[in-house]
Amino acid sequence: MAAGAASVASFNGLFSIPALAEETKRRGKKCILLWLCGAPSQFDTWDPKPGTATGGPFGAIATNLPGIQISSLMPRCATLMDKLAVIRSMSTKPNEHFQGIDALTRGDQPRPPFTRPILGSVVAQQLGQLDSPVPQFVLLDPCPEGNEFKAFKAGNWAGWLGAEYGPVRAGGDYGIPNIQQLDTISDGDHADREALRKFFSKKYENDYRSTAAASHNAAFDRVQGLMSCAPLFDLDSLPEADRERYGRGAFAQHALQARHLIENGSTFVMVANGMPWDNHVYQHEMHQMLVPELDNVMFQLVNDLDQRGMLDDTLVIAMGEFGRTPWLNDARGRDHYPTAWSLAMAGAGIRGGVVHGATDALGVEVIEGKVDNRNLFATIFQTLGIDPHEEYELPGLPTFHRVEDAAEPIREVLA
Amino acid sequence: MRLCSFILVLLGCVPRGIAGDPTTQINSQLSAAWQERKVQPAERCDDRTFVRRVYLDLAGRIPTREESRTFLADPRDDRRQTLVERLLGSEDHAQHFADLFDVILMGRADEGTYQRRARHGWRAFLETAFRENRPWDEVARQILIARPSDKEHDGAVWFLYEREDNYQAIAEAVAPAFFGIRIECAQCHDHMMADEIEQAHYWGLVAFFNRGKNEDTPNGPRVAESAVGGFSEFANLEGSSTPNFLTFLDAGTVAEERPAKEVKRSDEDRLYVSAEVPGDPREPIFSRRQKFVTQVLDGHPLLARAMVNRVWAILMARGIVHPHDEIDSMHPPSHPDLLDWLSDDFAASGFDVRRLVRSIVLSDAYQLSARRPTQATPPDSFAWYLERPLTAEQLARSIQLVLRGSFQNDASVVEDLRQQILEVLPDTVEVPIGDALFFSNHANLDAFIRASDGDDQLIAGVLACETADERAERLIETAFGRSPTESETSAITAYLDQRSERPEEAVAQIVWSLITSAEFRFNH
Amino acid sequence: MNEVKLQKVDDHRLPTAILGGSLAPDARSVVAACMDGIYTVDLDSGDYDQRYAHDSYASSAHWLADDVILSGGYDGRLEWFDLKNGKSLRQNQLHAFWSWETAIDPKAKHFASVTGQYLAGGYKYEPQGEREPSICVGSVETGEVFHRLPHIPSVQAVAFSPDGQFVAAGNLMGEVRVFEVSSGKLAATVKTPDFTSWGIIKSHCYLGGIFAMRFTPAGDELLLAGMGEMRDPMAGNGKQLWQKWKWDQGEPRLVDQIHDGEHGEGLMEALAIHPSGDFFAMGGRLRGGDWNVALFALDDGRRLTTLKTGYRVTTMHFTPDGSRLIVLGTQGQPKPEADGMIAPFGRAERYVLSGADG
Repeated sequence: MAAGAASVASFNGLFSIPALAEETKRRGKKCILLWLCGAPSQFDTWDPKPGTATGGPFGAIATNLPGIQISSLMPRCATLMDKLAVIRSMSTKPNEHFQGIDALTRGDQPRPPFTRPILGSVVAQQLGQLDSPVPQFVLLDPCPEGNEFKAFKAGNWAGWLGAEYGPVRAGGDYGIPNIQQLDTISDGDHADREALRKFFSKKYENDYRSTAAASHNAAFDRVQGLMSCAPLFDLDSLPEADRERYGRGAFAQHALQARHLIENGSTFVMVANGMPWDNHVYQHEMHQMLVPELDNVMFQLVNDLDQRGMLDDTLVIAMGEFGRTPWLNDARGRDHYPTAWSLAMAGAGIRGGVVHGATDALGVEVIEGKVDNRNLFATIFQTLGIDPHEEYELPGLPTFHRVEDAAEPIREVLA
Repeated sequence: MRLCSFILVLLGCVPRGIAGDPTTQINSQLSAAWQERKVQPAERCDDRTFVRRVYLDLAGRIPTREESRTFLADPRDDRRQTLVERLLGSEDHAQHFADLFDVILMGRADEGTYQRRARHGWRAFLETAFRENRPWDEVARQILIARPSDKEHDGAVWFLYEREDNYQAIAEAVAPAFFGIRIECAQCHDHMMADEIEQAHYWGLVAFFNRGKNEDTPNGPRVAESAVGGFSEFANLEGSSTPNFLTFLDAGTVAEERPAKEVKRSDEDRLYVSAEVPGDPREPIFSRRQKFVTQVLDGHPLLARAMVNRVWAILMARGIVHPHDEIDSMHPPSHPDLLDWLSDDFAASGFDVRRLVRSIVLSDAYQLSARRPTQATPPDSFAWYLERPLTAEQLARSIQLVLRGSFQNDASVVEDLRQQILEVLPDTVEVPIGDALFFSNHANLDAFIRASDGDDQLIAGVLACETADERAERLIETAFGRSPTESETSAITAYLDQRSERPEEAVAQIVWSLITSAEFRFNH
Repeated sequence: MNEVKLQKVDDHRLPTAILGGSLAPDARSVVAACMDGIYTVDLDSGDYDQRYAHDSYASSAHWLADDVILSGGYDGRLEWFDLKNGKSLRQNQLHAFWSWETAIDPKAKHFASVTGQYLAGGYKYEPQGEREPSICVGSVETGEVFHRLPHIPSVQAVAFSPDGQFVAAGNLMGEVRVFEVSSGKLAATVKTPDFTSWGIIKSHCYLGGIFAMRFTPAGDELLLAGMGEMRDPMAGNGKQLWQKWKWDQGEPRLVDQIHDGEHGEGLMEALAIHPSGDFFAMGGRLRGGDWNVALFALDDGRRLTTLKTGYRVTTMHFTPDGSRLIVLGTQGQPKPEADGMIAPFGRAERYVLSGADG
């Protein structure tokens, strides 16, 4: 404990026994989470309030849904609204980043000592392709810092599922260390040496009925597979035209890489870039840049998946841990606001062209279709074909459910 | 269980002096619990297993072939006690425990930080504490007051100093280090599950240290303390606010004059006395750090209990309370009477760490086989020796011993491994793929193996063997401390035969496969 | 000058934040560019009138002769408005993005407006090249634009030289381009890295840059204001920073900057030069320290006096006679009350200067 169980930094993927067919890999549902950490302003994205005291400076534009406007910073998504489901009535509890990130990536607030696995871990465990050498849960985040998100990243992501369902982290300087074979050893010797290692190691595993040795040997079993997919993590190997089209910022580049990983067998890819959305100061100056990047990423990603016939099976979610205050603080910023905020989803059985819920004229309260993190997670699980309310009986713990309190999915956005 | 020993005493079966012996207590209380839970403990381990195990646990490394052979050839009945006593007095023991407590108290760090810890005496402070078996309560006091009386204790400031006036980080480190509890989640609210850990304790503990200020003096780094300031209020989730009184756990609130809000008390000379050591920062007459030590730490039952549980966890792979640093109402001990008894004994013995370590490694439970008796046997019964991964330093020394017959504590392989393998007391064993990739492809480790090509080192020694059997024997005995099985001998022989044109490489690859196998990676 | 002091004499509220504005010729009123439009404010009584609105926040406003207002807004538009009859005289959609700021030359002959949206242009969020010319210079009288000049977005501050021959524009990256007004030719480029942050804590992107700019009375130096570098750009805790650059001869060079020990933390976004030419005012937000408006000697840069206004200052002007300092700005926007009304949060104050010789 004292050294810090850096479950993200010391990445753990989910791969083993090469066996199953290529076909299952294509059929399974997948998910890309555009993790807008720090919390974007709903006013400057999905729930504009043009011409009001809280609307901010950016204004609103019409979309391809009659009567529906979004922020003028999102002209591309305005043409894509028939494929998106926008939820304007998120209303959650935690008001600080760490707690908000916890609730919106795990689906619920903590109930120690039980550690609820993060969404990516659940999806990787439930839908992951065990035959694939490709990591099933990948976190792409080039930012080594990130305040509360940094602290969160150092925590236990996979929870009770176990570290093997934690993410492989890549992005920026986070290449996967030691993934390249040294040129001091031939392919043949590398493999033979490993076979000999396994022979010695299995003897101990069997003699001692050792689960620790089993974990040790399983880790080595995955080495060859992971080394074989090293190119997937090389941004420079992606087509230049695609890189240009997604945009040059780190977030956009990694969103493209997420598509690439999903196409090649990953099940859940979370794309983040530190905690850029927490604009207590310079709100306008930051959002003028961040929102257009998000607008383009969402547009390119959803269209690409659609064109490749993958949108039916791939869920794309764009959200942060809460929203921003309707009122501006004296530093030209907006502060944390979990009371009424927005997010967007597309694909994998989410109904496009839906705007669920509404806030009042100034965006202070939800006045229609109020939902929370539990409803959201029930929706995500439902659309991915995972039982939202499955019961867990774990030794020494009270009964838990994948989503507590039998919270209902948001029916309006489910096809 | 206490009743049992009482009856035994009455019956005259056990002399009084031995009932008070901690090893006897451990044995009787654990075995009583086995009977009660109908647990069949594993067999006693053989000497070959014991010698590897106890070298790793006490000296932080595997034994050399010669050390094993000497022990195995010892005909005396008390050879295990003798070995334990010798290891406890060894420099390797001081180094190993300094390694462990550096991670436990300070956390892993980059190499630059390790160098600073050494340069400013922290490392030496820890080594001395274990080399001289200094009383743990005294060590704790020196660390928390952080006013070294002489050059030799310079390192005592480092626990606070390295946290660079980050008072929350200090509080969050003090709680597990000396009280065996974690308080992080009490920052914003009372602990959700453990009622006794209140938000007021979090901010109270912060307040005991929030007048500190790092200062670089001619005597080296020091943590000065102000006589004023450090008053604030903390808000709970509902938004109501409370002053940060000097309070922690059940120790009551330390009385302190609290200025009215808005009043800023001026920082006057009369509030200080000059330091005893010339050149050190002046000391406030009302020192919060001093108050913390005298009114909270001294005599606090958790001080002994936390150390007992931690040392137990180091030697038995899990605490009597598990996780070892969450001794709160959420985490009941598996053997409450034993933990009470050992804690009382530890305090009564003058916080004698070596006595505690000795009593645990000489217990029956420590000397059980590492084979789990049945799948149903619970780990918190301590009915078998729970295997544990070697720490980075244990592994680095042992790899050096295998390859070169000797080791250096500052070898590059130590640095590489401690940046890779962070944990020293993991709650559970999950081997990350990153570790497997490290062993498979790390350039420095590869280079270290290749450079172990001296005439008196393993690779040359193996190649000098005349028969295939001897080669296998030499390899397996050096790495695992046992003889090879037939199938191991043939696997090694086949591997060498296939590469007869490049024998050095072949042996190096076999050594790699041995030191990366589970039998080497774990202590068992 | 050693004993110069500021004494508050008026304290007025406007419904919404004031982002820019200027004095009326009689110096008794101001025109305020607010979130919800253009207001005139009588500084004696505090009475105000909303005259007209932009489609987004108004960001700057100038009170021209003959009671005509020229304003710019985040709708990218410039508007000429006649106060006498309450009619809009001209609307000129200059930019696709915001007019961050406008400036009028001392003879009120030329205007300049700067624009530019910061968009991700590289992996580390280097700003993308401009999508439209960042600087427009035109005629105050006819509205005709005769120069569209290049820069790297976002261009946040603009100023004319006292003789009206040069216009300078400063951007996010701390680059100031000085152009000759008559020809539109680039006359000088000042680059200072000290106002810009690249975040390593929360995010990777650029933030900050130059938020206010003035030529010194002699015209050969430029005063720049903003906030010093931060590790976490969203902390808003960079030092309160001004720099003075000699720009007109050879390679531009840093002449002076805020002195050590005289700054707190916070974004500085307003500059005003006293008519005497002896000192200038800088103002903005107080994040750490004990002032958010201060006067500094123009010659040696030392700080003369400070104010703590309790709100963010966006614009300042000295009256032409040098006797008063007008301070415009905003508090945080209050939470709407139950009926949806929001208490006024724009601030306009007037201070009397004492002890200023000259």
